[in-house]
Amino acid sequence: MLRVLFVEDEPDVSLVAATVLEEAGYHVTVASDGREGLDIALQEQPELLVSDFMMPRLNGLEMIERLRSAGFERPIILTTAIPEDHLPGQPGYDAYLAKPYGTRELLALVEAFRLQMGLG
Amino acid sequence: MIEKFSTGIEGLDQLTDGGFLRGSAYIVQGPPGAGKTILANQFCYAHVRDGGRALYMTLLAESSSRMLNYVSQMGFFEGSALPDAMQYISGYGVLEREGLAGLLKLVQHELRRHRATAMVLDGTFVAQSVASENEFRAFIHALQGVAGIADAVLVMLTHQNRGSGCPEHTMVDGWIELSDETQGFRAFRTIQVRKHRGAAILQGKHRFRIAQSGIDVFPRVESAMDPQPPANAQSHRVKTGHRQIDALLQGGLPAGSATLVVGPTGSGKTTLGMQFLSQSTTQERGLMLGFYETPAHIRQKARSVGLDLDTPIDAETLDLQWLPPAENIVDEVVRDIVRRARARNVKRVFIDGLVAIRDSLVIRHRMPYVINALSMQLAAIGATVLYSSEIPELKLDETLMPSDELSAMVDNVVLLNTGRRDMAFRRYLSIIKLRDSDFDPRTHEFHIDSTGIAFGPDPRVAASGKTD
Repeated sequence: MLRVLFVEDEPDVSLVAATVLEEAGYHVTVASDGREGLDIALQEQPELLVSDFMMPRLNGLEMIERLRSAGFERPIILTTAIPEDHLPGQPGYDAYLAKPYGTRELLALVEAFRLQMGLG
Repeated sequence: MIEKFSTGIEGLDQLTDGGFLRGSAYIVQGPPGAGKTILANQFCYAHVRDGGRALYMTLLAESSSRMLNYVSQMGFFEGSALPDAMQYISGYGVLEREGLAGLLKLVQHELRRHRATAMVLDGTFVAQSVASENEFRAFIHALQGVAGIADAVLVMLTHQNRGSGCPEHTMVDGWIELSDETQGFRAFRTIQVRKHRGAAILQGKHRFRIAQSGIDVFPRVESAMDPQPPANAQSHRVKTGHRQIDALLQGGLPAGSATLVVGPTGSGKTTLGMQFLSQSTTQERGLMLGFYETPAHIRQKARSVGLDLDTPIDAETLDLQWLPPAENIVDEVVRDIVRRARARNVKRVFIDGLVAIRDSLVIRHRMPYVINALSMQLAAIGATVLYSSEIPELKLDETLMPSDELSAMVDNVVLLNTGRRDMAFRRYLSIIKLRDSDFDPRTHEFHIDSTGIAFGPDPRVAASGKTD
């Protein structure tokens, strides 16, 4: 079962997304800010990480930068209401999903990565 | 002197004597849908435009990306402010897991991390719901300290309708209340600055509107407008351009004065106003605000009675404005008239149809104070103003108009009356009041034909010789 770490500070978003992904057969862990996401990602090494950008304590891009520096090479999907061309710094993520998004869009993107990774 | 940050809303800056005080904490309270979120966002983006940095933290479970999606449609939204100078984050998870202590640490941490000079805490009532009254009081007190240390403005939004005795209201530096009110079928929004430490606030309720451009606040004109003496003491007369009327007025209307022209339907009020405006020149620019007739209709009407408004309009020395008599916000109407008159250095103003202004007021007894404030502002720029107001037809033997609180608020009163006599419709003009001047007290019959206002009975009536 593919393990997904979902990092999101808005509880309603993470609740809905986790439910949909779990129903689709994924194992989902939720972190509520970038710092928690960093700790869990380094410890559990999920196959896929989905992260919000604007979060307390550590934002999504800062978290991604630290993860990449620490050698985390798994794919990361960044979700944010900010247009991609307004995002600062080096991307570090593998896909961008504009907020607000539908659960079908999220699921389709996660499925695409699963297939790309050759995981059943 | 403590620096003030503009609220991003001109009218609210007026109510708060310049905006939010740096290093202070505010509560913005109001029911759902009252406009708290828009007000807070408008403040943040204005703050960022002024070079500040803002942080919007929500304690609500709902998604801030949906809110952002909605806010991005507003005129004040500035996409380039994201994500550097302006950020949205949620504090809900921390509050849920770590309580008020955790939330307080988070606020401190985020203010520092973001180097924010303004912060919004949306859904403060959620924080209250997880704590006792004492804990909540301590939390508010600590938040205020955090705002002070960070030298930032902290704006807390809540939908709870808690009274002035509640601890948060006594502790914070400012308290603003938004309301949705109804009167009959009519709905309107009000804003009230209930408290603002160290500032001369404009007290009481004021109307506001939410539009695509954001919130626009309209301070009550009678409270917002400083008493302003005329720029220069004026003793000259402003002619109506009608020889006999000017003679009755001892040479014309006193410059900078306010005149009320009252009379029943068809008595000639608009015609007299048009007569006054037909004298608009580069030196004495004119402005008309009408509610019932469009500018095209007014031009046509003037032509039909031999008055030339086309020349001053085409020369841009006369400006005709029209506002349908709907549910206008009178304070906005007055503000716009004064601004327009000031911008164009107008010296002749005609406002046709005070009934439309009166009907737009939620509290009708404000009317004389509103007109007084408007007249004062126009006098301050040296403008002479004529108001028309409709009253029922008076009996011919009545020599004075019925008492009207408006008459006391103006300098001059001209009564136009109508009546049927000898099988004919007739018009009468009387001067009732003229500022600091003697005047002809007699009532004069007049008629209006294709050459304008003419004194005496209509020749067609005299020719018919018919009597009742």
